Amino acid sequence: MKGVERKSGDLEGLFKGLLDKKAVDCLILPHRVGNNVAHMMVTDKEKIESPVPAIFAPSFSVNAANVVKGWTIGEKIGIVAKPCEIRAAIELIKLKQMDKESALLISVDCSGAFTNQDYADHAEEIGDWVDSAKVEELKGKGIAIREACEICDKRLADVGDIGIVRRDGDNVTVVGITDMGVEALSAIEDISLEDKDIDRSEETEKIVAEAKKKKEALPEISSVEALEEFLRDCIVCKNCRDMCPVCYCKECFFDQPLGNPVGGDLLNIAELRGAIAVPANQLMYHLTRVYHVSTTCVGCGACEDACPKDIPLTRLYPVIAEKVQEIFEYVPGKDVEEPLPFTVYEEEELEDKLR
Amino acid sequence: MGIAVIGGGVAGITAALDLADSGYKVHLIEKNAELGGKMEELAECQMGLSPYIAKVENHPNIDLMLSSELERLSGTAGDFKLSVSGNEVGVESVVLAPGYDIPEVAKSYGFGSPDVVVSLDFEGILKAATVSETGELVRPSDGKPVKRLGFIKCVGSRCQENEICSTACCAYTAKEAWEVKERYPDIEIYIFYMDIRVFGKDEELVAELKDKYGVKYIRSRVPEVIPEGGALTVKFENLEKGTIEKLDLDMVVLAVGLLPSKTMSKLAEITGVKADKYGYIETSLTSPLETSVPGILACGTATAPMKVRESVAQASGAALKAAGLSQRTEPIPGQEEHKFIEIGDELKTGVFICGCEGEIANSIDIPAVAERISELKDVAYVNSETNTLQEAMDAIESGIVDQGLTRIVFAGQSPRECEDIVRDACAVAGLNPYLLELVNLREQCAWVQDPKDATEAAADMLKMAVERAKYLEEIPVERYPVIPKALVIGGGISGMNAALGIADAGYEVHLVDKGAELGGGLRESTELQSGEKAADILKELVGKVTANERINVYTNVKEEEIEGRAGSFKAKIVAEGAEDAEIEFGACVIATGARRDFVPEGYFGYGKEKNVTTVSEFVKMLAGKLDANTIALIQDAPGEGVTARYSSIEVVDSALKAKEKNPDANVFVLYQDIKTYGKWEVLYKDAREKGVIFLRYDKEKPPKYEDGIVSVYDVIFNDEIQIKPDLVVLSTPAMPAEANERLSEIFRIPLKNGFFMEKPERPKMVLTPVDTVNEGVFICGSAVYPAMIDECLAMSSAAASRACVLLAKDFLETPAMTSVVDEEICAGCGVCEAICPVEAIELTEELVPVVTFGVTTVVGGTKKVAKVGDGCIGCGSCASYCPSSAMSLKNFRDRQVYAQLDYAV
Repeated sequence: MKGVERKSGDLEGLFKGLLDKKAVDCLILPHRVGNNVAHMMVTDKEKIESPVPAIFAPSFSVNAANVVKGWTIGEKIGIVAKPCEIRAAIELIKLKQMDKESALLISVDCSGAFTNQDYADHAEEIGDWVDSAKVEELKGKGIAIREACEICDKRLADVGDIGIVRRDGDNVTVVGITDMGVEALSAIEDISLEDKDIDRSEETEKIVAEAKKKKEALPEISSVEALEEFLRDCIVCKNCRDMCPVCYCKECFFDQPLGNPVGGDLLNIAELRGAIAVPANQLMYHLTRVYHVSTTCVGCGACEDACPKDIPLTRLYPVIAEKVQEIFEYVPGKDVEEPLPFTVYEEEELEDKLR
Repeated sequence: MGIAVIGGGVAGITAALDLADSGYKVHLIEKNAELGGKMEELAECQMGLSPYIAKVENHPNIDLMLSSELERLSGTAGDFKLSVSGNEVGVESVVLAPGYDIPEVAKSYGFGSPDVVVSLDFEGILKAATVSETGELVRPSDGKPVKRLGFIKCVGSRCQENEICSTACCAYTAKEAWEVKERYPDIEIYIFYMDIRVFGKDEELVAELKDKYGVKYIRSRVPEVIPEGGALTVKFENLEKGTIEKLDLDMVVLAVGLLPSKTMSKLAEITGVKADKYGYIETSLTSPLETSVPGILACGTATAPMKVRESVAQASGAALKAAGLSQRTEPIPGQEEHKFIEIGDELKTGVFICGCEGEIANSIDIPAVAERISELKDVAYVNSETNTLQEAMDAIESGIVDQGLTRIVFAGQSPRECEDIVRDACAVAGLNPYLLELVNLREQCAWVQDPKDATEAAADMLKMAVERAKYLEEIPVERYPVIPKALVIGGGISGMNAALGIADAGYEVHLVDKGAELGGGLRESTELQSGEKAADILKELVGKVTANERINVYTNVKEEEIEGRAGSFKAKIVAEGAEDAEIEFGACVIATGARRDFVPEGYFGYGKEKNVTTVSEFVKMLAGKLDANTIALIQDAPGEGVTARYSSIEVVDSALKAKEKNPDANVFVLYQDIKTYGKWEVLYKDAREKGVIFLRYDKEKPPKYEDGIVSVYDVIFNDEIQIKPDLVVLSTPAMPAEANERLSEIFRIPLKNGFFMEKPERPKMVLTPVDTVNEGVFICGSAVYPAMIDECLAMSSAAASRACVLLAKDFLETPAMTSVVDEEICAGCGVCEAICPVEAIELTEELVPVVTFGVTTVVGGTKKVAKVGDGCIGCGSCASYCPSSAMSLKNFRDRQVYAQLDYAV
């Protein structure tokens, strides 16, 4: 693997270089906005924050992959984001919402993130980076990372074209993962790539084990009644859908007359059944969404963050998705070349798994 | 006149339908009161066969003569007079398909004990067990659950009373064992066998039973079953250990053989056809469908024991031969063009509930249902008086004509049986046939609902259907002409036979072959097992093909560029040394054969040692002088490819010939299973009697050849045996033709191990062995599975017959219920394009401007949109994926389905 060493406070040159050398036409990366951190699309290299520690900041606002939707132009975008965001971008590329050639995907190590409001409220305490010890320490003080992050076992920067690996303390290794990534890095003047041998298996094992423990501790939704109770407060605002990076429909079924009956359509159904809950289709909406995203859900938790009624949707979407993905032996966003399970036809498959 | 088909089992039904569908008058004569023969007794098969039976019963070209027997036959080919239970019938040709009967079972198998049953009865017991209250498989004697189940193979075959092998038992036993294990994984299963004679898919099933399901296959001579007290003790000779052992079982299934039908001797007497010494109708290796009487054809288990697949192939083949002697006199159903009435916005729904000859009327209170349905809004007419499909069709037709109905809801049997018939009735009466909604009241309600709930459920199902019917669309019925020509790919014996069959039926044929001369694999053979010379057979066939004015032969063909669909294909034939030829055709027969050129380089020193050879080479040596005194033939030598059905027969036959040529020679056959199925069993017996020595080895301990010595661990002697042979002969696997991959892609027909797969059916059975998923393409011969000549001939006649059924039509309808895209909603993800099994969807790109303000240099992006092309077959896979419903299937639109669903809750 080719890579280069940097200090965490000394990365802006890298991003400026990418823009300067036209490796990308624009970059989207986290910037500081007051006490908080938000994604910013930058075309002018001078607008890149200096220094750029915000890229490691454990704050989650929206999934950056959302910008990929509708990116049907030839211009190239560089996305600097957490692994779950990069993985979502890769799924969207498979779903032809963007050409792979138009994206330079740069993943950044993550050790779990806080909601952006939690982060803003405790920015000083949390700081620019947390390791697992710090996460535990903050938890003791009642400041916890998002549940989606707790059960996430894919936090390392090993997806996309370039990975930004946070080593001990301040040291960062930037590695080219794909040819496109290596090429982009090589284009930057002051970078000379060296061979890097990074073994993160021990780290991965530890993360997987911890995440597994957390996952097992989650309360299970084990019946239709339990699901109805779980969704009791849902107002079908569809924010979870709008913030979901892998929900990519141009016009959602639940914005069409059958999915979202209003006026005469609503009255017709009410007449037929005698009564209809308003808003309609609460359970149907979530079941349909679970089905639609179950193979591609990257477990980023954006749905839960978006819920105005604080429904812990992480316990629904990523949990079910993982079970479905296990059946298909599919890890969304791992590799842009790996086909979506739906698109692969096997004459005989799944028999032992479904029995 | 027409054609008489005698026997209404699966073979008779198949022959009758092929003929009737191509416009011939058929008299189908069955001695029982119902159609279906033995297959009706098999739980799953009954389900699979029922649509065919319904079609026969309602076919205008079939004169169905049930409870009838042939009493007299006179005349000759082209002019037979039959006396059938007192009625006189005149026909031009006759197809005999009287089927089989099972043997009397000897007492030594414990037969008489209620817990010892024959396989046919076991199917019924298994079916009854699944639907019983506990769902358990219990012993017939005391109702206790079965824990240990035994199957005994070769009961009534490969024995003194019936020396031949019944062919079908190995496969059906495996299927029954699989069904038991699927439903009752805890039941222990023991299968006693002598050889496992299965091929292809069945071979995989047996391997799965052993490895995955833990079924114990015990090689033994046919054991004795002693019923004592409550238990059954099976006493058997363990051939692998040489000991006598006992095993206690709860229930024993006897896999009984197939004997000629009891009516055979009388039938032979009446018709004058010759029977062989076993009582089957005599046919031969090179004319498997012809009897000794010209004009009388035979098929199915009346000619030899065989499986359903081979039976129906023979039946189609015999139908083609019978048609060749007859004249088409009848119109082909479904070919008339209809004008449909303008229905406008008027919603007048007519509901027709059929009693289904008591099947529905006995468990559902039809008048009560009718009353409730008549109260629904938009229901203009309810008819609940009909009791048969025919009556119901008359009622629907007059309902449309007299009452001006604009939607039809028909509640009766499964659409699998009646859909085509009801749609046709609507069309005949002038209503667009897609304004019809079917309710499967028999299978999905009457048969399965608790009687006290059935009426309520029926009313609900009908309400749902009435609601859905409101939103049905008029789909235009479009037709395109069928090009009455065929393309046959492969000029071997199968291809030539298919070409001749189609040409004799009056159609032009293009026959292509990659070689410089016709003949295919048979050119490599010298003498057939029947003693006939391969060269003579080839000469005759090639002569007939080249002399036939309707057949155009293309040799040295490199590839065929093919496009189009059933009924209307186009191809460019690219041949070496000839100009490209552009042809058109309506049907294609694939007969690419199998390759026998696998070189076992390195195996047993082949290639290095001069005295190691292959069976195909050995067969040629047998034509000359044979010096070898000790010969070791090794069956199932490793290599790429599949074991051909002729593999054992060829080995045993050549061993026998070697022994005949040189009676002093020591001839050894090293084998795992000797698969001399059917009458070929006699060859095996003969070889043993003439002194050929058979040594059985285990797959785990294959024979070795080192320093001129073959050593093999014989599992019957339980010892290592060493042979110093002058000649080592390897029986090598057969390989698929190179063209298969390419043709599979062109026609989208899946391959299995490189060979073509027939159209899959549900439940899993093979009733159309030469049909494929591509309606216009048929497969035969060794392109499907490396087979003996008689099978290749029967299959290629069958493929020709199926092709002729298609070519006999003037028009085909384009699929009506196809997918449509809402381009406004389509997000262009392209999953539908990837899912589509027939590549009918294409993702197109169009430029869309970027409309925002600013200094951006971006002028436009591309928008991807799915487009559905002509090839759509309406499978609905794309629509079922599409998350935004941008893709939908006509008449399965969200609105139609939602309307139906809303009435369900």
